[in-house]
Amino acid sequence: MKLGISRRGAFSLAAVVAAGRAFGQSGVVHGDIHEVTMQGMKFVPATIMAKSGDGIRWTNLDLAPHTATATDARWTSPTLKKGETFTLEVTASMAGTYKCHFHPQMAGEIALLR
Amino acid sequence: MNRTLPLVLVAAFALPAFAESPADLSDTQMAHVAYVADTIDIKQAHLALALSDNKDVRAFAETMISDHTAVNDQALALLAKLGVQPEDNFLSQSLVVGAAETMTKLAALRGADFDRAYAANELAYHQTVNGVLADDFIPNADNAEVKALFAAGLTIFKAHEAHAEAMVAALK
Repeated sequence: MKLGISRRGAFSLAAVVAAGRAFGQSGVVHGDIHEVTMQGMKFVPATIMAKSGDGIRWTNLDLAPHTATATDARWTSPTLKKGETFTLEVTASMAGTYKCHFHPQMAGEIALLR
Repeated sequence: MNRTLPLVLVAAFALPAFAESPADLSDTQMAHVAYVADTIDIKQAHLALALSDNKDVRAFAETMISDHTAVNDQALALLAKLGVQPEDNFLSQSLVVGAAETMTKLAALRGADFDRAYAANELAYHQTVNGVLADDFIPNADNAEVKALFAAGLTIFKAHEAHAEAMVAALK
């Protein structure tokens, strides 16, 4: 499972390690990567249809910091500032809704394809 | 709950008869107003973190600090890029006076009274600031990058307004 956070032009290896440790995940994404942008205080697209093993890459385009955090708090990204990205491998347990920790009106959903 | 609190900051945007309109401000004056408005909200959020034990109020306050700090950082970067300084004006001065009164009133409250007053003030404050941004600043800013920054800020602040509205309803 691949897990990483990056900032264009200022990538921090320490941040990658910290993020991996924080959520106890490591490895490589073998499936497709689905791009989600955080822009205009929304997740775009709001719904991702993915298979287990696919990856979701969130990129924050807003000035405001955001997270992608499961509604049941089962998983979360670190705080992403403008220009930062975070990639997470999809697992069956991630199916469901998620939001931004800071902006609860920002709603997203991961629909699992079988 | 002190229901008069939001009016203090709303009044700060009300125009004295001798003053010009917010729409007549220059870009650097508008930028100063926006910076001051952000700074006021950050200070009030710090007050909320100092006085409130309500987890939702505290979460909102932390969001206000991170978001308004990010917007202000971007504003300062843009002004530096443009080689201009923000310019003090009647509206930013009125904001400062109004905010001082609000801080004094909020700081005297405790518990649920504080939470409700803080939430109500945040709702009124964002409604008012968002109105000025949408109706006066964005249509009248000359510089495209300044205009774009105001628009980006307005998108964020509208989310704050909705968040504050939900917080007000939950605290009733």
